[in-house]
Amino acid sequence: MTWNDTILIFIIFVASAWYVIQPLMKETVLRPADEDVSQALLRQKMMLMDQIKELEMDFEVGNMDEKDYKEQRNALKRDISSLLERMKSKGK
Amino acid sequence: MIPLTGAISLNLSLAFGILTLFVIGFYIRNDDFRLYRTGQRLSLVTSGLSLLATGVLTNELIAGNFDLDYVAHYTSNETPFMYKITALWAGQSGSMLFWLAILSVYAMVAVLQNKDKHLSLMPWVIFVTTIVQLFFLAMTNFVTNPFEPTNADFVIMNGNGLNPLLQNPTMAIHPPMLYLGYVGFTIPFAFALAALIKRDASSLWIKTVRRWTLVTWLFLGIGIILGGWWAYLELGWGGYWAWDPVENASFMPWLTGTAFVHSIIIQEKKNMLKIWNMILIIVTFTLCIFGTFLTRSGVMSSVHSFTASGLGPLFLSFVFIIMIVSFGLLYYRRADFKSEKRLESFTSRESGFLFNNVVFVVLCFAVFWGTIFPVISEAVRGTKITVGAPFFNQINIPIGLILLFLTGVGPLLAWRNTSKESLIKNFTSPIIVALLTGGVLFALNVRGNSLVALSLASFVATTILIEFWRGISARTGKFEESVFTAFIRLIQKNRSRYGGYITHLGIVLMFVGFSGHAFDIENEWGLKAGNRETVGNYEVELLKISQEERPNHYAYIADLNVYQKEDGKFVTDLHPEKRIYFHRDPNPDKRQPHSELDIYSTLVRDIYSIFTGVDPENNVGYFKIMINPLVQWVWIGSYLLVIGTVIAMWPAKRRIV
Repeated sequence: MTWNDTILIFIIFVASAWYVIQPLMKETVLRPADEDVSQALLRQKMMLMDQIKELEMDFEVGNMDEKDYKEQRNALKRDISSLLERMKSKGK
Repeated sequence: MIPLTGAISLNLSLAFGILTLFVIGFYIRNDDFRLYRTGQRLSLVTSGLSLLATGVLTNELIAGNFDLDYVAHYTSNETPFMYKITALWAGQSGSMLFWLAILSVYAMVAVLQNKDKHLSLMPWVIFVTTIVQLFFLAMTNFVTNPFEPTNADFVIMNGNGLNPLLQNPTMAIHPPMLYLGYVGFTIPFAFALAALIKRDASSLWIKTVRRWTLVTWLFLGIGIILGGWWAYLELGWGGYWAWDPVENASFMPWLTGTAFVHSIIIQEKKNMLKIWNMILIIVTFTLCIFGTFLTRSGVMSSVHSFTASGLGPLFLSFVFIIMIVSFGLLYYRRADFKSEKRLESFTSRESGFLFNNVVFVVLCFAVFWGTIFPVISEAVRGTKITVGAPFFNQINIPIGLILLFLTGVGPLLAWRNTSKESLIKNFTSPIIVALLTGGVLFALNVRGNSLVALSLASFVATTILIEFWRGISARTGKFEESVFTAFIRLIQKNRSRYGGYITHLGIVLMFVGFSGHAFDIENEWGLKAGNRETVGNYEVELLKISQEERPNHYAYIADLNVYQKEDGKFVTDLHPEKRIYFHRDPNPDKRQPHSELDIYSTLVRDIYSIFTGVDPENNVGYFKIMINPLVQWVWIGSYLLVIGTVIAMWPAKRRIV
C-alpha cells in the first residue's frame, strides 16, 4: 500500500464519516409531518372518486347497463358519504 | 493504486452497511429522529461506496489492467471498447458487483425520494434493503471478489478476452435490463415487509410501490425480450426461446410480477387481496434471488459444481432465510391483513383478475418444476433427468392460451358484477370474429395450438379494438372531437387503462408470432460457388466466399442470393459469416469459431441463414437456411408491450384536492 493509496482511502473514509455524523452533531432534528389519519382518509376519498370516474367511463362506452351502473354508483356514493362523515368527525 | 481503492471501498461499504442496520435499529427503539437522519445518510454512503467500487472496476476493465484476475479473464487488448465495459457483468464476481451497484442506485433513489415521507415504513424499508445489500457485499468481499490480483509469477501482457457470443450489441443491453428488473423488486419487497412489520394494512405501500413495480416489471420484460432477440440473432438455432434454465430464471419472477401488477389494482381499488399481494411480492423477490442463484451457482450443470462453487450454498441459504422470515411474518400478521370485502360475483372484473393471477402462478410453478427437476433427480437418484422443451411446451402452451383468453375477457367485465345482458352484448362480436378466424384458418389447413392461438388472438384483439372504438365514439359524441383527437385524449385521460390495453395488444401480437413456429422449415447443405439448393418455396445460390482479417477475428464471408422457386424472381442477398475469434493465438485450442447470421425479415417470414462451416481447401461452405414465419410479430408485439407499459405508468397531472 503506497502513501497515495493511504491518503485517498483516508479522504474517502473521513468524508463519508463526516457526512454521516452531521445529524448527530445537532441537538435536535425537526421531524416532518407524516401522513396522518385525515390524509389517509383523503387518499381513500380520492380512490373512491377515481372508481366513480372509471364506472362512468365504463357506462359511457357501453360496457355496463344502466341498472348495474346506477346500483354501483349509488354504492360508491354511499362509501364516499360515510368517508366524509368520518373526515368531518376527525376535523372536529 | 486505483484497484486497491475499489477493494477498500467495498470493505468500507460493508462496514457502513452494518452500521446502517445498528443505527436504524436504535432509531426504531429510541425514536430519536437524529438517528433516522444518520441512518439515511449511512444508507446513502453504503450505496455510494459500492458504486465507487463498481466505477473502479469498470475503469480497470477499460484500462486493461491485467494485474486484476477478473480483467485478465474477461478482456484482452483486442476487445472493443464497448465490450470492455460489458465485461463488468460477463463473469461471476463482476456480475455480483453489478447486482450490488444497481441495488445501490435503487436504494439511493428510494431513500432520497422518500426522505421526508412514509416515516413509519421507511426505517424498515432501509433496514430490509440494507440486509440485501449486505448479502451481496459479503459475497463480493469474501466469496467472489472482483478485485483479486492475478495469481501469476509473471507479468500478463494480454487477457483471455470476452466470449465472442457476448460481443453483440443486444448482449450489451440485455443483462443490465434483466438486472434492473431482478434487483428492482427489492424495493417493493422491502415496502411489503415494512408494512407487515408495522401492521400497516392500508394500501399505502401498494400506492407507493405501484409505479416502481411497473418500471421494474418493464425492465425485466425488456431484458427477457432482448435475451430472446439475442438468442435469435446470435446463437444460430433459429429460435428465440428454448426453455433454458437461465431463460426460465428470468421468466419466473416476470410471471409472478405480472400477477402482482394486476392484483395490486384490486387492492388499490377494492381493498381486497392484501395477503395475496404480500405472497406475490415475496415470491417474486425470492424468485429474483433464486434466478441469480440458478445462473451463477453452476447448479444447473451439476449439483456437485453447485456445492463446490461456494456461492451456491450461500445463495440457497439466503433464499430460504428470505422465505422463512417473510412467510413467517405474514403468517404472524395474517389477521391484520384479512380483506374486509369478498368477491361479489363470478362475472366481475375482480374475479377476472383473480383467475388471471391463479393462472400466472400455475404457469410459474410449471416452469419452476421443469427447471429444478433435473437438479432434484440428480440429488435424489444420482442420475440427471433433463426436462426438455417438449415438456415445457406441452404443459405451458395450454396454460398460456388460457391466459390469452383471460386477457380478452377481463376488460369486458365490470367491477363488482356484470349482468347477463352486458355479457352477451360485450362478448358477441369478439366470439363471432374468433369463430370466423378459426374457420378461415382451418380451411387453410392450420391445426392444433396455432389454430387455437390465432383464433384467441383475434378474439382478444377484437375486445381491445372494441374498447378503443367505444371510448373514441363516446368522446366524439360528447366533446365533438375528431377521431384522432379523441383517440389521443382517450389515452391521455385514462393512461393506466388504455396503456394496459396497448400492452395486451402487444401480447396478442407476440402470440401471433409464437404460433408461426409451427410452420418453420429448414434445410442444410454444403455449397460451392454457383451451386443452388432449395428450401421451402425458395432457392439459395452461393455466389462466392471471401475472407477478411479484422481487429479481433478472422472472417469467412458468404455471398448468397435467394430466389423464388416458382418464377426464379430475386428475393434478397444474404451474407452470413464464419468467424474465428482469437485467430492469432498460437494455440489452436484457444481459437473460437463463431457463426454470424444474416436474416432477411418481412412481416410474413424470416429467411434465416447460418454459415455453419467452411472447407477452405475445397472452397466449400456449409449452410443452414431456415424459413421462420411470423417472427417479426414477436418483436412488434414487444415494442407495443413497452409502449403500453410506459403509457400506463406515466404520471398523471396532479389534481388539486
